[in-house]
Amino acid sequence: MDMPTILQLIINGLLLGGIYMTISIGLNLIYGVMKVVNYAQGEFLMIGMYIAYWIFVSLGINPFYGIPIVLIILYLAGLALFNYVVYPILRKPYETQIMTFVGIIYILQNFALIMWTADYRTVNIPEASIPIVIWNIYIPQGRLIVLTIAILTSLLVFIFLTKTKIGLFIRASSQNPFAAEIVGVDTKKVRAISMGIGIALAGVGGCILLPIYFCYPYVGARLGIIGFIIITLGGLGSFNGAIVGSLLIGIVESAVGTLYSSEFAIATSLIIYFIILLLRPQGLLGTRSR
Amino acid sequence: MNKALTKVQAVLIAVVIVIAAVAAVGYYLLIPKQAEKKTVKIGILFPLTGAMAPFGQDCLKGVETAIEMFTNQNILPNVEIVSVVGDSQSSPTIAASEAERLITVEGVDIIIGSYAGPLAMSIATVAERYSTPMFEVIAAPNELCTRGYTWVFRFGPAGLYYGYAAVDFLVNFTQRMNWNINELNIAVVHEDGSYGTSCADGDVERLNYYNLSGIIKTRERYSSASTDLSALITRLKTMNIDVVLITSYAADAQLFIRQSNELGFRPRMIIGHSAGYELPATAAAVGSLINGIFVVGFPLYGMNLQGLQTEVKNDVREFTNYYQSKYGGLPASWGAKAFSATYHVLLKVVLKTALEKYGDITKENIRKAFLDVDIPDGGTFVGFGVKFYPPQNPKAGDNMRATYHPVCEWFNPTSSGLIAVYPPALALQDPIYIPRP
Repeated sequence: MDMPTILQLIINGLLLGGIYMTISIGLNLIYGVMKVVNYAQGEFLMIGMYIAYWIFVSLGINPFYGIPIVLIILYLAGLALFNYVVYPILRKPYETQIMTFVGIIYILQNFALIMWTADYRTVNIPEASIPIVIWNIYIPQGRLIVLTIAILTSLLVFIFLTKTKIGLFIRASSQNPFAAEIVGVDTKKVRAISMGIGIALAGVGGCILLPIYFCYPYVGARLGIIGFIIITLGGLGSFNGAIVGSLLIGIVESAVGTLYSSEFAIATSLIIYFIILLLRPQGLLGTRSR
Repeated sequence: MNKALTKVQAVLIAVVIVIAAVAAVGYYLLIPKQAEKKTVKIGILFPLTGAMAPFGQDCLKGVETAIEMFTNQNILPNVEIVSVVGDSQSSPTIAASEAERLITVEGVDIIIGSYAGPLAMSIATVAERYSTPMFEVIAAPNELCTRGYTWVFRFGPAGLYYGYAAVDFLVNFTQRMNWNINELNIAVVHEDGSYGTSCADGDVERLNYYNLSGIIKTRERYSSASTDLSALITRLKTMNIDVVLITSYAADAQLFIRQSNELGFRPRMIIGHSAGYELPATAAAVGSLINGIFVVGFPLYGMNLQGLQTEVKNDVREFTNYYQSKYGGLPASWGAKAFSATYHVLLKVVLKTALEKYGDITKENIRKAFLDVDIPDGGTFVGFGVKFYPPQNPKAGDNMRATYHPVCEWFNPTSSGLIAVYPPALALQDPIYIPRP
């Protein structure tokens, strides 16, 4: 195998990792603060896709430029979800939490089905399909934009968490909610904001993936499962773990698919996932819970 | 004080009673009664939710239109058709449980479905277990009718024939273009479910038939749930593939076309097998990238219908008008196929035969009537006729006349941009070579 092919393989993997990052960052933020896995994250991404699609069709706004609108709508949806659904079950057993989120999945899927039917919706942005060619290596512009926005979003979230007062409260609530409350942090409000941001990030994912995938009521299910695998692999609640996990899975799938067979690409990343969890149950960059 | 009846009074009363009784019996015998209607329950089982929902919804519309048109035409006045709709949710497991519910709870006389191979296989197993006829209108897994089932019948061609059509066209087209086919590198690529595997088996078998197995450079399988095909495409690119014979569902079809362009993979020809490559949404998603892609498909409004019987041609018009007035827009090709299977085969022939030849519409009589079906070519929208292999045959239940499909070409990314180009009898125009952009 020649060098351009190897470089192409790596670039393909990184770009795929960018797609996975779009879903895993928000999912991880929610888990990190609330210790609740939002199994419906993929469905919120799907809702984000539909809103971006609707904005594109009715207002002619490119999905990339529609991000702020989707961000606000899904942030508010996240706040509502926290206050009316998640907060009441925070101290309930895991089974209750899982069943609640499974219920949300069905509600959102059927909501989309009723609102927009099962038809495949699509936005064709020809420029996104034009590749940049360097040394016979093809870099698709659309996916490069996805990776760039995913990295920028991650950076913004990182800065928000480390450099702002609310970010400090979020981290405090994540590490020890009881102690945070003692020193006066309104953990309910902090959690609500975290949920809003987490869901809004899914909306960002929806906007930037719309030019790549069909939009239909079940598109979130595909991506949601991958997101869950990635945050578990990287370490539940670990911000860096989500990024590393996304890129790792992307590169493994790309390498196995190119060198051996696409049929085994997903299986191989799952095998790696199991091996890592066997050797390091807290995930690559996660911390062992006590 | 009670007083006994006199003899005259008693006789008069008796006479009145006798006259009334005679009149009642006479009325009952002489006045024509409103005939009691035989109720036939048809279970309609398609994926109405889940990843295959757009296809399933179209099929449901086709079947329901067929039943409504048939009922309005009063062809079997003493039969009332009741449809019971089930949703397989694009899942084989749910398809099986829905089939069981339709049979055991709803008491349907027949199940019509199912669109996709894995769903068809699940439903067939249940139908066979409960001795209930199943009529598959679309799904193409080769193995559906090779398992010795006696209650399963399929309208359309097995996937094998999609592959045959693709390769026959390839051979014809390379001659037309003066390309040396022996110098081409061919990749057979398919989603790894029963549909993709069946079509790909057909590709390989037909290439062997032409002594061209040597030009198959690779056979690649992938999951239709994949969110990325860049690795597959990079692999094909490194092999210098000239022709891709590919079978995909919807999301993966648009991904393949789009990512091929993004990664600079430009084979001379891409020949898809129905499903995703025939879907107008795919064309809308990839825009002009769809131009020049060939598809083994069935564009009802983009193919030559001259070979159809006059009555069937009229049915095309009537169906189109009815469908447009009810749903707006033109039906999808699989919706039209589901309509034709239901209308031309099940309702107009099978139920009629069961009632008129065997005396009643029961499950067993429906099965027997299926075996009596003998519709010549030109008797359905797709052009092929219908005759099912008998139970002793290795292909029991398959339609022995459904052995071909037109090959079409995309000329523009609108729903009318897909035109049949092969074979000449079904083509509206000749194929044109449009190099990949």
